[in-house]
Amino acid sequence: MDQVLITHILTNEATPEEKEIFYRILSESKEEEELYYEVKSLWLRSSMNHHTVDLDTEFNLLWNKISHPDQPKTYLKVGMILRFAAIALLILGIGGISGYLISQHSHQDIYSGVQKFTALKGSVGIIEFADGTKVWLNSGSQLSYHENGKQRLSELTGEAYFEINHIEDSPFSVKANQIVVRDLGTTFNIKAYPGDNLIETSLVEGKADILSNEGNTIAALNPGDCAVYQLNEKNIEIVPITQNVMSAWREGKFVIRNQRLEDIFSELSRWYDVKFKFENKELKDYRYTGTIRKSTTAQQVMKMLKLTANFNFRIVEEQTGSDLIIIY
Amino acid sequence: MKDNIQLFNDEKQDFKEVFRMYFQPLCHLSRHYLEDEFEAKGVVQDAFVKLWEVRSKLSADSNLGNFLFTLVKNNCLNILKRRQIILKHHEKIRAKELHYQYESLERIGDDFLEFNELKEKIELAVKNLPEHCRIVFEMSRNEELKNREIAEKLGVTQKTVEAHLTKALKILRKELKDYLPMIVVINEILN
Repeated sequence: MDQVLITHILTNEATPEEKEIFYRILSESKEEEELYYEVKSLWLRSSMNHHTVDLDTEFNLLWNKISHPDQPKTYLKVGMILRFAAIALLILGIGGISGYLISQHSHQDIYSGVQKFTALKGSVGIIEFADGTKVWLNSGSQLSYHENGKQRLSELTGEAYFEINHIEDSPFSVKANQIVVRDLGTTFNIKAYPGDNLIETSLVEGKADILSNEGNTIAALNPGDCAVYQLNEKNIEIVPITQNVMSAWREGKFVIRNQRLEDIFSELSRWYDVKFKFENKELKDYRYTGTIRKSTTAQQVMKMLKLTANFNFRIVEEQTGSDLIIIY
Repeated sequence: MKDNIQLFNDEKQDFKEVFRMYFQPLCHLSRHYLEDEFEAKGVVQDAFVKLWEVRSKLSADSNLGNFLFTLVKNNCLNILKRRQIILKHHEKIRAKELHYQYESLERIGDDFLEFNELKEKIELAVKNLPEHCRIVFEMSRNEELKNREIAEKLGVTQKTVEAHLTKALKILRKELKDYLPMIVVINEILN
């Protein structure tokens, strides 16, 4: 077998063509197949002790689950931040890796039945509730949850994707700033970051109503609808969902569709824990379209944007707080 | 080596001890095959929850590592199977990929968790690789960098990185041929 080919396969960098060739070889020769399993096993075993996990934290998560079997499960996408941290630390000089890992755990405070979940910068959290409801919490977002009688009540700051297990007499509602979204058997995404003048609610499946804080129905959504609520004007507009945009963040991608550079950077700062400053204000309105994997480093993203948008940037390291990237 | 810990006099403390011993290697295994940090951790977490639930039914000489390994392996196999089922028909390559992932995991024996001679030999063999080879290999395996990223960091071409990795693999196979029976066959075919 071609040794370079097998290296490509093992490092997960084979092209579709290479994969096709490789799997054809395996299917044609039992010997090659078994040989691949052995090499893969060697590959697996050659880095056994190096993946860093914080055992104490992991044990606490486990113990929490064991002692409160009915409580929501939470996981965190640590892998993504690790990859970022390992590289970006060198480039941006932010803190230490261990600091990153410890600070990104979503915590549950159990006061008077209210549970709070926080996904810190650079992590996506998944919360699984005992009733089967699943919530993805985007970087920098917070969700609190409590029950009042049969009502399941939550409040969101930031962005989250909900797969609600609809229970007929036990409605699930999400309060986001000035509006409340009430599920009627539903999968939906809400984006309500503080500082943004909009709240976007996109309905994937089922039915959902949007209510004002006073409880009046403002809109009834059908699958494929995206309701854009303007906080200042207090008006709501229904537009079609932009495909991929909602699912992308859960898969660790930024999808940018004809967005202004300033808006793109405000999104990037939620993920990378850096701040942006424009010295050349004209650049703010430059529009860009593309997809960026979040595992890419901030430096690489900047280089990519720079290529098309024609700006320069420099990084100012801060002793305390987030580093600053200046665009000029 | 403390393998068969008597469960569980000071239950939580002993449980934590077992956790410390097996959590990391089990995560390594599930990550390798599931390629998804969430799911991988979830599977391992579930195995420990199960262990806790059945603790009273375990005898003093139960092999806990084996118990956990079996749960994790089977759950990973089930997940791979499930992924294959929900594939769309045009994703033929992905289906193949999952098939070989499944078959490969199926062959991982419960010696995986044992701190045996093979593990030491592998570590030693990696340590003894030619310097450049070892640096590239460790960046790839331990830091999980992409070939392109390694190339950038070291200021060499991606081809050079690949060549080092290929060479590392070749040397490792040769060094370990007495420990991995099939490797002998590999070398015979290759050389």
